Parts: sequence; C-alpha cells; structure tokens
Amino acid sequence: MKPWSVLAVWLVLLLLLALQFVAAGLPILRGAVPVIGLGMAVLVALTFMRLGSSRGLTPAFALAGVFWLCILIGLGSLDSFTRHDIGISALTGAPRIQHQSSE
Amino acid sequence: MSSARPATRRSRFLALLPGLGLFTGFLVAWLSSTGRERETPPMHVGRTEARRHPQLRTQRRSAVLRLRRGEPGSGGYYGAWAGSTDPQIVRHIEFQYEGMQHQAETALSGMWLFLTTEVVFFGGLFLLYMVYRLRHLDGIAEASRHTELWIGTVNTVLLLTSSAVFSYGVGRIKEGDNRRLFWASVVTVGLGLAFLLLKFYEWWDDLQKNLFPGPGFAITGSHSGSAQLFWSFYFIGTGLHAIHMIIGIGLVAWVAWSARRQRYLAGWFTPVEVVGLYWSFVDMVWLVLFPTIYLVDRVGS
Repeated sequence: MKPWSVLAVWLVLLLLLALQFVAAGLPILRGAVPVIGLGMAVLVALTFMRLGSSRGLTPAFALAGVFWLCILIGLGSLDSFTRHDIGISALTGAPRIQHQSSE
Repeated sequence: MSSARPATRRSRFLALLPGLGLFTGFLVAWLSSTGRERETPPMHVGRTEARRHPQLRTQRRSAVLRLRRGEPGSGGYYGAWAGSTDPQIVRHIEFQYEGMQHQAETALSGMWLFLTTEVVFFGGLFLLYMVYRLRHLDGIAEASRHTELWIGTVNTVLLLTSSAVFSYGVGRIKEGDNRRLFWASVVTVGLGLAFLLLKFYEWWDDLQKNLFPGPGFAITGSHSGSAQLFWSFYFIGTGLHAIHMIIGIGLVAWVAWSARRQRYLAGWFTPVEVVGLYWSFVDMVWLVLFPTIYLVDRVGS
C-alpha cells in the first residue's frame, strides 16, 4: 500500500471507532455497535491484509472462513434464538413455581 | 444356522476391510517413495541421507552451491528458475515451485487457510457469548459496565495504529527498503508491547476489584451468576487474544531482526507479508472483541 492510502484507511478506522461510541450512546443505534466493529474488521482485511487485491486461492479461503463462521454461528444459535420456554403451569393450569435464580 | 452363515461371511469380509485399507496404503506409499527416489535431483537429497552416503553428500553440496550461485540448470528440476533471473531471489525459491510468484501465492493462501481455522476457533467463543447474552441479557449488561472502557479504547487505537504501521512497512519492502521495514517493525513491536502492558494492568485491576469468577465475586444479587458468565468470557477471550499478541510480537520482532540484516529483497519478502497477515488478523479479532466486551451494553449506563 502507498503511504497515503495507509494513512487514509487508518483515519477511516479511527472515524468508525468514534462512530461506535456515538452509536453506543444512543439506544436506537445499539445494534449498530457490533456491526460497525465487523465493518472495521472487513476494512482491515480488504486493505491492510490486501484481500481486495489478492488472487488465486486466497479469496476462496477467506470466503470459506466467512462461510463456515456463518454455519457455526447460524446452526449453533438456532436453538437458542427459536426456542420458547412454555411453563408447565400454562399447559396444566397448575400454580406457577417461582425460581430463586431466574433472570 | 442357515441364517448365521451369510452373517459370518459378511463379518469376515468386514474384518478384512481395515487390513485391505492398510495394505493399499502401504502399497501407495511404497510406490510413491520408490518413484521419488528415482526422480529426486541431487539438491533435494535429505540431510540424513546425505550424511549416510558420502557420494550423495558430494552431489548435494555441489548442487546446492550451484543453486546458490544462481547457475541456470543447476538443479531447477521443477522449473524453479522460471520468472526470475536474479540469483539472490532464486536462492529463496524452494524446489517444488515454478517460481517466486507461485511460491508467494502458495504461502499467502496457506496463511489464509490457517486464518480461516482461527476464524472458526474464535467464532465458537463468540457463539457461546451470543447464546449466553440472549439468556442473561440484564446480568451481562451490568457486568459489562464494570470493564475499563478507557483501557479498551486506547488499546483499540494502539492496535489499529500498529496494523497500519506494519502495512506501511510491507509497502516499503516491496521497494526493497529494509531500513523503513525495520523501523516500521520496531514501532509495531512497541505498540504491541504497550497494548499488552495495558492489558496486564487491566487484568490486575480487575483482580483487585474481585471480578474474577468464583468465591468472593464482586457483583452480588440476582445477576451474580450472569455476571460471572460474562467475566469468564472476558478472561478467556482477552487471554486467548493476548496469547496471539505475544506470538505476533515475536514474529514481528523476527521480521525486524531480519530487516536489520538486509535479508529481504524487493523481489522476495513473502515472510513479511505472511507475518503482516497474522498481525492484522489479531487486530481484526480485537475489533470484534472490543465492542462486544466494552461498548455494546453501555447504553443506558
């Protein structure tokens, strides 16, 4: 990379870091905080790690990493994100038991 | 009885399968090794073989010498000379590659393959955090607010800067500038060490505040269990990242040492690129860890 492009990418990354703080302070943008973090990671991969100008097997391996990460997180969190806890009381009409350590 | 016979035959046949597999494996290995013996040029005779057979030793030594001098046809059995006539570059090309470009692309692809395994490695950790965070939202949010935000932020800036500086160094060695690569590596090592020092201080501070999960944990009440889950993730995540940092600092220091000795050339700097990939990957992991640990749950604090 040319020195000025390294400097430009570094400044953009610092700007994104500042944007993360702004998003963290606003409840409506709460979900944007990790997304900006992921964006910063992608920018580092494309520029400092030269993924944008790579060829051959390199982009294939990088995409494979993203693919398997999606499989891992997608399948791994499927149960947690889709399961509904139905109390026994709702099914049987029995009085509900209060758990001490429930959150 | 009549029904037992086919079953016995089948089980005998199945018992033979592993043996058959082993035999085939040995056969393939023997065939390939005998082929290699016949085709291996003298410069690729292993050191052990060369030690045992004086004749091979002489052949190997002369072939390696001619290879180092960059004499055309001195053992470029696999076409190692293609694409480069500079003997200084040629001596860095291993025998199995067609040329420097082939070798560099293979090394970079191999590094990316390794980084893919690292992505899945850290991915498992983040998956665990996501699942626990969904189930213990309030407790994890409260625990997250006990982290030292200023240390996390300074460390993020340090890592981003170090990655940029090393990337600058990679750009300079492409022009054959070992001096600038050396200083870029030294600055990168310095920034990495500053990151680690701050991290060690933060861990010490966390321990002082009794934030290590276990008896006497600082956060009590109904959220204590969830908070301990968060701090377990915190120590495991930052600990694994710190181990990667230590390895990265060692690798960058090695690059600095090599650059000091003018080892790299404008046409050969693959180790620098590979180390740069690793260093930036460590930076990437932190860029996901930082908002997860320090920032995302500061809302409403």
